[in-house]
Amino acid sequence: MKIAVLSGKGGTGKTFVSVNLAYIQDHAAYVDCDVEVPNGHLFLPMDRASFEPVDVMIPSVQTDRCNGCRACVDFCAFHALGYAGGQVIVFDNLCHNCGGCRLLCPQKAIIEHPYNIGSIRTGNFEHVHVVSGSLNPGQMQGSAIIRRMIAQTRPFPNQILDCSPGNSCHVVQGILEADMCILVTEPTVFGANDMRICIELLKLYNKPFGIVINKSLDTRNYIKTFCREQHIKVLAEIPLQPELAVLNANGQLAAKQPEYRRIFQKMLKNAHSLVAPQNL
Amino acid sequence: MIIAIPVEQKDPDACVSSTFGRSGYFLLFDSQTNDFHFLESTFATGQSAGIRAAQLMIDNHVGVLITNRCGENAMRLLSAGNIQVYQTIAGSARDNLERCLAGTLSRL
Repeated sequence: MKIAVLSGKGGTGKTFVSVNLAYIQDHAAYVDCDVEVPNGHLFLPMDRASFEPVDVMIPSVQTDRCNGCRACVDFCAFHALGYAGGQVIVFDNLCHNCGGCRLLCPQKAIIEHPYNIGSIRTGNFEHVHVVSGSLNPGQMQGSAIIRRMIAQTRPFPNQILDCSPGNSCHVVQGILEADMCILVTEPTVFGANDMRICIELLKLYNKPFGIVINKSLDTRNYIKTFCREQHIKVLAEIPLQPELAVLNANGQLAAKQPEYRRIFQKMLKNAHSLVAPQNL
Repeated sequence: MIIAIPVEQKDPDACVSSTFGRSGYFLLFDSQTNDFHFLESTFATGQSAGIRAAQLMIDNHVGVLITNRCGENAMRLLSAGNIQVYQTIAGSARDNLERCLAGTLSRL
């Protein structure tokens, strides 16, 4: 099963949940889709990682062919093209490599060339296959890296997609691919607010999802109330414990300890129960 | 020569905007006819506002832009369009225009 781990708010414990869920499964691939700040490798350090640069194709304009019609400039939704001094100016880092400008150009003046946006590291930690994407600073198109990592790990029966916080295009790439989504939240006002925004996004894509309440206190909190009212399944609660914080800060996997392993096993079982078998 | 200034309101005595791309309005002054008019931004909250504002200046044949600051991408497009960019001084759009015409503003 492919599980996308999301949160809305940053710092709720997506990577904590993701690396441990990957670790308790056989034949699992952990995919770090948080390409702006990948950090899963701190918990799953790779043995002899392979390195692969990721290039995308971006446009350049043959000025002798361009007649200044500006069809490309007007088309580009990301404003990666401008027209000044009688020529098309390309802003490489804003291009989302859709190829539309090249298709539209009536003069066939646009050609494409490869442009490096980041890299993918692949390796193993114990029995876990680890894939970690990294977007170069200043680049916008991390989705291309995420799509490539997801394609490479399709042969694995189990994938954990550790997504970035927020509700950006990067997160959507993970949601699109997933069989179900786990939304990690914390019992704070920020955690609840950003969780609600993320739920709206998940409903747009009609994906089954459940909630994990991290740093949970033994009292009633409005996340539990909200989930009960909205009929949203709480897959697991992870208690607020100094010991977990220490383990995490030391880059240790909580699931190596039986009492915590049980929490992740229950989480995984509940996640499976949300997905109809024929959809797997 | 057309001189452009990003302004907060449609008023020559309005304050100059603190930014270029995300300005709500642009005052355009024609030094040959002494006429001025305003352009209203349609992209003040959108993506790539700097590039879009620079393109707007180019398409309106602006020769000189007076602005408080300007991003790298916008500056690249403005330069390609041969637009000279000057740094604002404290005061209204009118004050800046007068200083520009007197030749006492410095390049950004």
